[in-house]
Amino acid sequence: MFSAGDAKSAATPKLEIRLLGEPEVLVDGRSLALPASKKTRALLGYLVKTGRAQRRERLCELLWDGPDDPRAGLRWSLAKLRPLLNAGATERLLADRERVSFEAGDAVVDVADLGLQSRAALQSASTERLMALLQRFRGPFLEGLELSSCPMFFAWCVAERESCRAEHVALLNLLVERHRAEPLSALSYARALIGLDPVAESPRLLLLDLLIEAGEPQRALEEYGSYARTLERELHVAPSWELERRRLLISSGTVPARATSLPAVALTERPTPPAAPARAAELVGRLPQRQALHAWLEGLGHDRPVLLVWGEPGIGKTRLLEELATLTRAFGGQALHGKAFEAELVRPYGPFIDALRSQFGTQSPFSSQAADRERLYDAVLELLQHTAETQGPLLLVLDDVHWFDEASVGLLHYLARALGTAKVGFALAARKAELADNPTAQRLLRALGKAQLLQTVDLGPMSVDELHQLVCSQVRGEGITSARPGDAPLPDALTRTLNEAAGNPLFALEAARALASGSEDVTGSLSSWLAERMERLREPERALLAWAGALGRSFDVDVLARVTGLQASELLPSLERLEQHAILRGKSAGYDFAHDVWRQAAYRQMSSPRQRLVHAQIAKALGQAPDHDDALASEIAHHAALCGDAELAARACITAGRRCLRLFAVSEGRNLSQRGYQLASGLPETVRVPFLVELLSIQVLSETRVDLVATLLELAERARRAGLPAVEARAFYLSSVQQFRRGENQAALRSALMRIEATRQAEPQELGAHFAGAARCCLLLEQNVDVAGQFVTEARKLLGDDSDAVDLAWSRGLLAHVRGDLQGAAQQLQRALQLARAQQAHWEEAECLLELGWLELERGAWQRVFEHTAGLVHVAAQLDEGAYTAAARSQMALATLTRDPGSSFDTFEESAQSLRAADANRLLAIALNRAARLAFSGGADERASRYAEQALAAAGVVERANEIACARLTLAEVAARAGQLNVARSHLGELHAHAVSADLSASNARAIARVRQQITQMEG
Amino acid sequence: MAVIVVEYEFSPPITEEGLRQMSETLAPCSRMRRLRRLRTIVSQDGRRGFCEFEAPDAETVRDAYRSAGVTFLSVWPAKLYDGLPPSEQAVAPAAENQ
Repeated sequence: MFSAGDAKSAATPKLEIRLLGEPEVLVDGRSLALPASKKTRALLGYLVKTGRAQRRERLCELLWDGPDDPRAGLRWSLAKLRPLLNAGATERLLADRERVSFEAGDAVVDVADLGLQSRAALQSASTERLMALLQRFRGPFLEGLELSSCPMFFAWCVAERESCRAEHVALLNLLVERHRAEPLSALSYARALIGLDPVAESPRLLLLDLLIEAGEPQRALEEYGSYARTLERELHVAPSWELERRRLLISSGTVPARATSLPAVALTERPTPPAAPARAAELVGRLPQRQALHAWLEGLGHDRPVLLVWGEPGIGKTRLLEELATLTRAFGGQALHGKAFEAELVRPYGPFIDALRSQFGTQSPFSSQAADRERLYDAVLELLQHTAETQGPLLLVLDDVHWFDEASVGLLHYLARALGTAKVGFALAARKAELADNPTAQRLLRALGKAQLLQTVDLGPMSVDELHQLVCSQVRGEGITSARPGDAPLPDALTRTLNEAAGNPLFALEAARALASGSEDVTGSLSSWLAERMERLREPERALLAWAGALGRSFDVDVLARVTGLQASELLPSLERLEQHAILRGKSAGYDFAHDVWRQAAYRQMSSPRQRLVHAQIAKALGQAPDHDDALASEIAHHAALCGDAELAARACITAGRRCLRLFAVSEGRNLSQRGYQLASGLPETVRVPFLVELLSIQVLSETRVDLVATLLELAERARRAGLPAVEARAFYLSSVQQFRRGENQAALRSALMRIEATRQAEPQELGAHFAGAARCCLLLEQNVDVAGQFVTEARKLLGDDSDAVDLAWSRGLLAHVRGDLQGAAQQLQRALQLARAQQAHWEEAECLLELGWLELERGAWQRVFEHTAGLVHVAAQLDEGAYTAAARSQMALATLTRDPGSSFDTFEESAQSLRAADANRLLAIALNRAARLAFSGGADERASRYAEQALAAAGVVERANEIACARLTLAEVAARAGQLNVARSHLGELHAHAVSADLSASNARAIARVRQQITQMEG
Repeated sequence: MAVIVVEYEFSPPITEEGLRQMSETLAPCSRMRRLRRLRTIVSQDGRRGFCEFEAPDAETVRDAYRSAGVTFLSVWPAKLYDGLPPSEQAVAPAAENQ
């Protein structure tokens, strides 16, 4: 093994890092506890394996690509790794502001020289050296750390794993070759090869040959039969000709049997220990915690609604929550169960969906589409409150919060704060250390704690007495004695078992089961006991566990039947047996593993190629399952990514991402989009470009702040080159949406027009509504009137003139008004008004009434002004803080002044004062300008000048070009009438400067021309 | 530019995520109207809140909210009183007068 510093002083601690199998760090042969955060362990693996300096950005992209502070995540992980790697005085983890590196120095790393061993070097190595090398392969590279939610890291890890596996295969083949003369010794290597790839043919042929050579034709035939069944089940193919030839040779007796017998390799089933009870009848120990649960439950409705049970894996969190559920039922209430799974961080609301569907079925708020997130949240809140009011206390047990998705975090936060006095409680369980990988869940717990909505219960180690009591209640067999400690000495093995467990009940139970089944190694690891227990199961149960482990979450018989292709009646006996073995647990809505460590063990018993096959089969089966609301899409994406089917995975990411947006799970939608983007990047161009555009559409529609315009325009160009006009159009459309949102109207228009040029086949309603909305916005703000005109034209083409979009009629009315077509403007604004009223759109209704009021004043139709202002006063009551009411009063006053020239301006002045009080400068400027015109017409020049000055000031505040122009025109005319031609000229000069850049209305433009001509004549 | 305060009542109470969404919805309309959000304050129970803007006037802020479809309780122009003495000194002149 690679070691550069053997000659160093014995006082220097010797560091060893193992990455083959679950990562391990050892100092002087003693294993150190690694951080529980998977990302931190993955970082360790990456830095050690790559062995070169990495930019911090690269590491962040690899493992912390998300909305949270990635650099903080990296810093935290480095802080955890530093004490592990910098053992003694040697600094091996080097980090500066830019880069991070691991320098092995004298540390021993199991993968350090893998791959450097050329085939020739291996061939020439001694058999002892090869066997020593083989010891390094404790499992797949970075076992359990592929992190499918981090696509870049996942790709790197899978590639490295494959390369390590190839090394492993080469080594085993060589060892078989070296032991060929002694087939009995070679058999174990051949079996190890089969373990690495159960469906590959060459190791099977090798095994058959070895069995034949060892004179065991009968066992060779059994092996053949077992392999043929595997091929049929996994690949639906018959054995190859080569295998068939072996079978014929053996069957025909061409191969003579030898007298030697083989050692008892695990070809036949081993005896199964007596079935243990599925579950303890009573909770052992935990008295203070039980008292805390009792008190919390009694306080429901007026105290903290969220309870959190903390603790390490296997410490009994889930069991304690079950106790709470039982207690709730004893209180006359009910408990619903939901659980988050590691594999589904992108299944929005997963735990809530499971909990509510089990009880409410199609009445669950998640079964129908809500109008917005608030309504979805409210629907859940109302359902919980109503259930608690009518049926007694309601408990939602939500397990494994450290794997909660962001949407579930948001919903839980909301519910906890909004519950009020309803007797609804949330009981959560979490592994403290693993929360570091889920900052959103971490923030939730912090916030609930600060708001005094959270009560925590710490679950520490159990005493040896309690463990003993627990073991006796659940495990029967040799060596498990129920004598109480203190009464009589316990057998040594049992005492060692209980001490080794260090207070962890899961560990104690599995060690005791190992002891009861005759194992002498009671100081082994949890994973080794689980593997041993699985070994003892019959083949159908073992196979079933593998499928269940790969599914990654709880399952029902139908799902299992669909993915395995077996009938439910064939599965049930095996499920029952696994329940008896306390490996699976029956739940109200199906089955789940008794603990996550079982799920991991069941999954890891499969070789990487077999895992891929199983994931492929699951992805295919889920893809064929009925899925009306795309709820399975994120699972399909997960399994397809793990089996390497990038196209299926990317497609499923799109479907799942859109579903997330429908459920207002914006962050999850963006994550899926990013994952799909990574997955699709290796596909052929004609497949890739449509996928990339659709994946980006999820980000655009989620209103991301990331600027995607350049990427979208580049994709549009690539789509054009690939002859995909619909995709090109879609990319242009999406870029125009982003540009609209940023207020880059000219650029947005360009993109939109290019999109229309490319094709007109996609989403005319959506695009048309967008054009109309943007046009209305520009016209209300008096900006880019020409562009707004083009938007209106496009919106009319896309929506049709009879569309019921308020924005279309409204923007047509505003545009006609600006262009001086008062008749057309009135017609369109009337239509917009009717539509707004029909749609109960109050703001739109008020704005249309206001605009109609100004327009009719301009036309001198004071009767109609009164009609509109009456409507405006009515709708203003539903909106207002005085501005619309004041505007209505000023319109009424102006209509009165139009009707009765010479009447008092007092009412108008009062309304203007109300507009000032409402701080509504736009409305004030318009009203003052209209009043100034009336005063000027009536010869009240001083008043006209005063109003115009005030209008100019108000319009200046809100930068309204038309009102500025209108005020200056009045001032110019007043000055001209007073013979102050210089002053008049000065106002016209200002107007000229404005007119160059502003979008003046036709009536203002005409008025400017008229006044200019008038002044020129006076000067002449 | 003036200091404008937007007052909210949230029923049901708003969450941090809800505030983020609201802010994103408002962003394009705010940008077009030259609004600059200075800070947001929300009560512990998430039922009330204030937003402080720098904006041309209150009505422009109302327009932006209405255009974006975001509801509010009231919008009013405000003054900043930065130069007031600390509270313990504020009583001193009164004491001198006695």
